[in-house]
Amino acid sequence: MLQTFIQIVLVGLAVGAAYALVALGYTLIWNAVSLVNFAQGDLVMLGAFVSVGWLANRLGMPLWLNLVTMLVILGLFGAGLAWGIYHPLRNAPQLSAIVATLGLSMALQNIAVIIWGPQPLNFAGPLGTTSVHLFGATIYAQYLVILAALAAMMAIQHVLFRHTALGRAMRATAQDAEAARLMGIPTARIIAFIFAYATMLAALAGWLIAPLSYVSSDMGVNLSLRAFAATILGGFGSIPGALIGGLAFGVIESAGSFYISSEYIDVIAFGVLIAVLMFRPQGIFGELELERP
Amino acid sequence: MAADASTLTMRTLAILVIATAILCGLLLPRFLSVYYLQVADVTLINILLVLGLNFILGFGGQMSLAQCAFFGIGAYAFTLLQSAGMPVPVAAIGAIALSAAVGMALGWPTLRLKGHYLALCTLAFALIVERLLVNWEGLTNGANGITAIPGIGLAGENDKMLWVLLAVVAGAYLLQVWIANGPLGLRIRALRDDPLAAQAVGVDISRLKIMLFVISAAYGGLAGICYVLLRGYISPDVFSWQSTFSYLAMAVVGGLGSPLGAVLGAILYTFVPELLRFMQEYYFAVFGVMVILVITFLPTGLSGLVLSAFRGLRRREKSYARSDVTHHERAA
Repeated sequence: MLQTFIQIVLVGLAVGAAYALVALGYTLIWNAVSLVNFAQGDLVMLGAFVSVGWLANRLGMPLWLNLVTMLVILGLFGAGLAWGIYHPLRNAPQLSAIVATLGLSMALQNIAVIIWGPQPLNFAGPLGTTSVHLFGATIYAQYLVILAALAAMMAIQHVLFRHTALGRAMRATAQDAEAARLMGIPTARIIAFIFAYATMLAALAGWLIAPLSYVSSDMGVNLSLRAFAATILGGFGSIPGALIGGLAFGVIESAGSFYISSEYIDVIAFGVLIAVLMFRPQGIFGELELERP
Repeated sequence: MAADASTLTMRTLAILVIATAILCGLLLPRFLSVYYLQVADVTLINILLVLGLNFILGFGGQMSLAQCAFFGIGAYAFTLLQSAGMPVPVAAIGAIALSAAVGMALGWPTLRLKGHYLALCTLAFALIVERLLVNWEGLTNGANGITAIPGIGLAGENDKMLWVLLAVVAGAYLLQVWIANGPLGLRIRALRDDPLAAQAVGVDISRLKIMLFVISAAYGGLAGICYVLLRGYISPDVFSWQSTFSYLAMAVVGGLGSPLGAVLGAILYTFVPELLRFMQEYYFAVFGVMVILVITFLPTGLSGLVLSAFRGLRRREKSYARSDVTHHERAA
């Protein structure tokens, strides 16, 4: 009994860690420029495809080089998004920005099919479906890698944001872009950095989950919806909220599908989400932004 | 093609629309193969869905992503009511009423939400409806769907259904123009352009938003009924939550808030790619990029282009297609 429970929680946390990486991307971009990037999940997909379709299958790169190269490519792509999507629409109404990122999502999915074909790619990675035993539970070793990666990422992010000039400039831009600009911070470049970093987080999630699922053009869609839900659960705009929301959503999903109903888990999870939106739209940690009815 | 310009009286427009519909009904079967005729029928259903989306998204400026859910609710409600022994008109009215009621049930509690909150909430709702259609097997027969639905006995008869659908779409089109040009339309535009000012001059914006949700949902439900009549079978994958993005893309590229835009958008998204089958992925990749370009540089969409070309000829009046969308709202 207890072993089953531990197993469910560990799997939930690992899946939730992937949600958290995507959710952090939403949060960072939202804080910096008040834009919700609905294509964040497709960046996950892009990261997985670049890593598996190009770097692993074509070039046969060793794993570490694969990861670094992929992150650099996707980082540049993310910076490009800041210029191509955000800048032209920075004064437009929120609706236009949402629509634009949905258009981006549609474009990216079809471009992925053009480049890598309609067949999903398979990538076992070095661990494949190796299982490990932990506290009596049996889980894929890759799940532990995902959890470790999230922890490492959080440590890196902490150092970046708290102890480097770039990180301070990023935080300043997120808090008040206008004031930051007047203080001499090159906000346009910093915003491009934030987009690059958020994209790298999503791509890292894609790299991490690629061995556990097929790499297909629509793999990001479900992930992004759940990460989005996690972001709202934690509270939009809150970094700890995105983290805890992601992990919590993963555990709720994993436990709910085991203990309640695997068929109705989506109904329950998203029903809860709608209820959260109705009664506590600021989530667990978030800011409040409402319209008077 | 000046269907949106308020320079035209309602009667002229009605004649134009009906004439276009009759012309389509006479000409399309001559030029199109059976397959393409069916694509034309599906295009008409998509026009209906985008017309519905126009109310809430185009007129109301509310980011609703639930149109596919109302599509599904209408289709399943009609099917189940008919199989329960109700005559077609009663089943149809019941299905539309149910869609509208669900629209109200979604619109009322989400009044306070805006932007991405509303987008996610309606998306979550669409996902829940889809999961229910798949899993509530006692009611919906699950993923296998329901086959051999009698409808009006025209399932698969694409040429006859063309006339039915043309009539429905022409009616729905004219109703939208009539609403938009009437006193309600004024309030709707006031809500979209400046909710605060609208409220200040006495527009009950809460009631208006709910009303837009309800009309949107009713159009979606009607489209669902049409789909059943056309196909004779339904399954949940037709109403998947991801499909909602395609209706959004059609609405945006055609022109938000413009009935003519709904027609153009649906044709470009549904019919044209079937003609260009050999390059499908390229087409939709380009379409995605078009969504970005249109929303950035041409907020009135293709219908805005068509109408301004037309106005260049007539140089009078303005359309109610969204023309001033870009740079004001954020400050509000």
